[in-house]
Amino acid sequence: MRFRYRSAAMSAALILGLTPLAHSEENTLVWVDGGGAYHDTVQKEILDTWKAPEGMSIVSVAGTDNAKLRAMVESNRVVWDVYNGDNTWGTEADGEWLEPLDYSVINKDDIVPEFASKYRVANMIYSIQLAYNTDKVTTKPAGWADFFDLEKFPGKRAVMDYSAGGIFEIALLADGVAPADLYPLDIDRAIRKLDTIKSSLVYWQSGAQSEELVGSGEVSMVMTYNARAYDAKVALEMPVDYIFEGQILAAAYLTVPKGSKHVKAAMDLIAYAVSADVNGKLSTDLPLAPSNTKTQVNPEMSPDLPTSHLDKPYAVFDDQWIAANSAMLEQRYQAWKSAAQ
Amino acid sequence: MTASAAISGGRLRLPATIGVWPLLLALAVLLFLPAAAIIANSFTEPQNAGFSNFSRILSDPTFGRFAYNTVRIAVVVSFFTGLIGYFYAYAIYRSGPAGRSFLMTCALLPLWTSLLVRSFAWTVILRDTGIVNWLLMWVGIVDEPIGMLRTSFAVTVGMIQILLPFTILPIFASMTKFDTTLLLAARSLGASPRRSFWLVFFPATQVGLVAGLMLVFVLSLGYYITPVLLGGPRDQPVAVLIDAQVTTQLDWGAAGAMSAIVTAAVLLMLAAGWRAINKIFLV
Repeated sequence: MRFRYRSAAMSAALILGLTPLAHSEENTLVWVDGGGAYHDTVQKEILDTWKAPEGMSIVSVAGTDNAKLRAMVESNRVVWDVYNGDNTWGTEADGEWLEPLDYSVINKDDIVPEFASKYRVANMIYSIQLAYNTDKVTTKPAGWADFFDLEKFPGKRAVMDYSAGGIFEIALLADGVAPADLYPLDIDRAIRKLDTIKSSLVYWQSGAQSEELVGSGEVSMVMTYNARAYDAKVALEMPVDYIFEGQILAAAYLTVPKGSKHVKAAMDLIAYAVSADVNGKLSTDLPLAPSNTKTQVNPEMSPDLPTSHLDKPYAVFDDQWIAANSAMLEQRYQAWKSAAQ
Repeated sequence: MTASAAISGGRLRLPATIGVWPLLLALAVLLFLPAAAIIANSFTEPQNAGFSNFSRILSDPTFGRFAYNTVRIAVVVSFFTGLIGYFYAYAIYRSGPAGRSFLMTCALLPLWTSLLVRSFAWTVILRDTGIVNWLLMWVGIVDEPIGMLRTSFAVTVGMIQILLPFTILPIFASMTKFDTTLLLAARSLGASPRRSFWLVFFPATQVGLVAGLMLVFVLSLGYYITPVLLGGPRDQPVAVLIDAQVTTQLDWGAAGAMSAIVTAAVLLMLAAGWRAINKIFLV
């Protein structure tokens, strides 16, 4: 979902207002998400079935980019209307770049509590989980402690190359911290734990790369998005399996960039996307759980939904804490990662 | 300089210029203005930041480490591209017409392939299940794959291959400008071929080498995707920190300050090597 090869040049071009003109027509509503298989599902299940206001067409764009959104808002050339960001996006900390959501249009009552706030409403729930190569790992791991156990489970480990992506969280869970006591994160303790496997770590920058690493057996275990683990196992038929023990739940959120030319239509579309009628349809082809408690999910996908495993230990990202501490997290992460061991 | 003076003097009856303004305008709009805007962020974000972003970054040992990685890789890559590039350019210079165009095509081929594709190709070649390890195991040199990907070695090899044309071309250009009558003079004064090379040919062509080294060094400082894909955690350049500040932290003040520091370093390098670049491209 996250593909972090970006260039400052793009932002620079946007500052200058050299926005691509293709989607800037008056009557086009633009939806932006992270792309991949998710993008196609959104198109088919939500955008194609939505009845757009008279005379308005809808376009979906793959490639969320917080920097690009900020540049659009600052240069007052906002061509995105509904922005489907990840869990780190859209808290009060990002209020500067966002329109407040209109909860007289969007029905908040059916949404899982805490997943609807001033600037964002969740449209699906995913998780960060442990996936492993079944050729290299023959006994099923029991949780993150096994991810850090190089003796019992030899081989390299791949982790998301992102300070707020869960790397500190999995270290603490592996070290025995109870999910409920995860935040505020004890970074020193997390780093001590990470140091025990540092020489065996590989850092991935895109979800596709995480699938490749574990599927090819280059690493024996990976921390990745549950939809990526599922994709590697089911769609790509790689020797991959995954566990839900210790998963960290996160949500993807719908937001409206400040200065969108179609705020009203955007609110309508968001209301539709999170409604009981369609929200569950994201689980048609992908293991993405709904944020709406009253919706129907694809029964065949049910065993693979993160929310079907809440009887096992799990944690939830504390987005507010992460947003308030993101600079510190980034600083500690880069300092740790680049240091000699 | 003298050549262009002769042309603009009107004796050859060519217009003094066919218009350099489109290029200058494009540079102003597409390069200088955005660069200025990015660097301006370092003083305006947060409000009245002054030099606070700079002092914060320059006092952060992590930035120092990334800066060191950047410069270290640039130095090593420049050294090897200079060395290999000189040998290669000499081979082109000494070849017949057919050999020349063959070698030249080989040298230029990488330039016609996207940087991202070449970097990805190296990951496929160098990984544990890649062709190099397969070959080494097949021949029996090693039993277990050698971990080459995500090491300094991988970054260095990848960047050398990608940047090699930037030393080959200026060195070759300086060789073609070499006045071969000087070799006759050297020989008439009793110099052996080897002495002629070191005392006459090499000094006359090292300007091309210096220009090539400058180009590679400056380009290396801005490399991002190749170190990210091929390097280990201790080979990551400043560009990685800038990217994180721009895209995930949205701290454009810090990003602007880091960009300003790298830009200043590049400009200083260019100023230092300006004479060599002038000589090879303008004379």
